[in-house]
Amino acid sequence: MPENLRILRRKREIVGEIQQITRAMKLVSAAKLKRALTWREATREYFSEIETALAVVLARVGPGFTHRYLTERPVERLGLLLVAGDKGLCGAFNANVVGAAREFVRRAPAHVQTMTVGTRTAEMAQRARLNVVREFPAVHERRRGADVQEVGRHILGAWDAGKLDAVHVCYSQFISRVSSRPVVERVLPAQMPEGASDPEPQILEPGAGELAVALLPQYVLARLFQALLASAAAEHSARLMAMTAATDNAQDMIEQLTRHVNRARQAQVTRELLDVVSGADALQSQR
Amino acid sequence: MPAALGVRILTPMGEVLDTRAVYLRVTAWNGLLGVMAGHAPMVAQLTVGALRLTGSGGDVRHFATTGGVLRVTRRGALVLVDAAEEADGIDVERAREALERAQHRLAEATAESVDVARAELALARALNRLQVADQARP
Repeated sequence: MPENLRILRRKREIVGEIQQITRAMKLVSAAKLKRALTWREATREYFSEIETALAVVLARVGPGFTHRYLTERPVERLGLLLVAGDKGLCGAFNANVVGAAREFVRRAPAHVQTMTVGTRTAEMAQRARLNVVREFPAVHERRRGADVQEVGRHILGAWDAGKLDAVHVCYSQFISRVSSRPVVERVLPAQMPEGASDPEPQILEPGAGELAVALLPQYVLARLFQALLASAAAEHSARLMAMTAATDNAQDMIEQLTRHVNRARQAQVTRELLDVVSGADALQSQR
Repeated sequence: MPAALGVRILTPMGEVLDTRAVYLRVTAWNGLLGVMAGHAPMVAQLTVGALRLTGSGGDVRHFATTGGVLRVTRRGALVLVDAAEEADGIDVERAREALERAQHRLAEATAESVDVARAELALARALNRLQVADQARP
């Protein structure tokens, strides 16, 4: 059946074309992952230095010091910032984060307002029937500063206006190139790390209280920055893995199809030979 | 030769500078603040302003920075700001555009609007970048 052979060859071609695309996406993800990791590292260092500076300052404010970013209040309205990607084709990356968010909402003691980062995230969150009140696009590589600022401003604004009593962020924590894990962390009210403060006497300009007031928003923003960039790195690594698997699978499929093609071709040759031979036989027996 | 002070500028976008200098001058909350090697540990609030570094050869580098904090430890000075730009890297054209945009927004905004603070900050940043770029010009 030459029809069958043609279909098999065409199939093999198509798989080859798909493989070209997945291979290209794999290479792009590898390059993006590398960049995302450098940025994540830089942001992490910035965050940890801000944290140290804040710890130094907070260790020196009087016992009477309170700040609206530090005050616990009865939780009636919870905010959840759900961070994942703009695009799919990255395995279960988006689904894992949305799953973790659903779990969080299920256990939450109060009504949860969800804010999403990433267009894909927003779609999936809505399908998962989360109460999405605000959608942000994923953080763009070159505009990442401005993008994070926008998300941060919105959250701090809602907090200052008293619309939220606690804000959590749910994102993929990048662990290694082959693994990441969705985590939920509380951003507001801010949780301060214990101890770790520089015991040396410090000159504080202006006073500890004023410095704490100036540092707290910077600290919360840095924290969001870190979560968003960790998620970006995790997304690229998830896509890299998904595309590597897809490219390998395509290779398997091509090999399998090649075997089928060969078999079909051989069958066709045999058939044709049989036709020729039996034709010759028939002619001979007529003679 | 005076001892050198390690100076690093970190922003959430990454490290801008890691070098040694004889003298560092930043714009603190109440005016200019100078730091040399051996300075006592300090945390100081910074505002939008200029940062100047003097190297051991007397060479001077200028940076425009946004608000943030300066931390001095035994190891050196650490500048933690939202953004920092070296003077010769400043796009004067873009800074001028940002300035006009901010002025425009301020002129249109009503007094109670929340955006006034943001526009004022944008204005200060744009002005600062222009000033720093101007200072650095020989």
